[in-house]
Amino acid sequence: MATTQTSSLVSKLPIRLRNFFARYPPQIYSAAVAPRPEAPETGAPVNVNVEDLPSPYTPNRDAKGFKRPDPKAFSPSKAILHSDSKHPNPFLPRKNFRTGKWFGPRIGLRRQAELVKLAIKYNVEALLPPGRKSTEFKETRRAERGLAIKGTGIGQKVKGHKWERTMEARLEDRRKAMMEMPEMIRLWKQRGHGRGWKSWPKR
Amino acid sequence: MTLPLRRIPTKLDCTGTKSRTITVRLISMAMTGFYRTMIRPRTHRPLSMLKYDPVVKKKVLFLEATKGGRNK
Repeated sequence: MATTQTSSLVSKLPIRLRNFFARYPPQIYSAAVAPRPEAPETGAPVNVNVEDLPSPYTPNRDAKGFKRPDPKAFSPSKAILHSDSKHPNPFLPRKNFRTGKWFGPRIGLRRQAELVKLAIKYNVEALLPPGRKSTEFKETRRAERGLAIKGTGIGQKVKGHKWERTMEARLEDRRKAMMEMPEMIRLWKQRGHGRGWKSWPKR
Repeated sequence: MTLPLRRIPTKLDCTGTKSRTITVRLISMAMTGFYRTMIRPRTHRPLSMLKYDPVVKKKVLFLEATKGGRNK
């Protein structure tokens, strides 16, 4: 019963997706069967050697607080890109460990994007192998990059424009001045409309 | 031998007199930074008047401001 249902569903797919799934069967290659990435434990203390830190007098980007991402560090988006050495992911480049040479992905980024778009249209995106064009990868990466915006971290402040930074104080000044305005006008009228006025503002 | 320095003549030297009137700035006392520029006789007492401030949308007191903050 299930087999007939599945086969009828498969027959509804466009020929391009059918050919792809025939060549790369989802039970081996799809993102659904790929092992879920696990973040490494971060309990280990980080030893920071003062001498290793860049000098603040060095005119480089590191000294100004810019941290280049460590290529070996764990990244949730990169962890999604799983490839099995037995069944190499056709969406990812591959390294030949004997010769040390890199091979490009079997299916390039343009064709990957086309396949993903087609798969989304037919609601079978989960059956594709994990790749850079998948919705999951893009969302994870956006979440990751979103945190990298300057000023949004813990204990940081977005600098903003000067008018934004001083707005609160200026409005407070104005509010106070307007509260005292009727009294000021009364005094001004009492003192002969400015004849006996002493406190003139500075320019 | 050095040549004696010659002073460059200024505008005041040419006219010889100060103008009878001066331009003054009347600052809104609502602390909005809004001001009006007016002309008054040099010998007149400092200007002050109630005028409309478009920032607070009200009639407020405007006082004349001078460079040193000192008026006669």
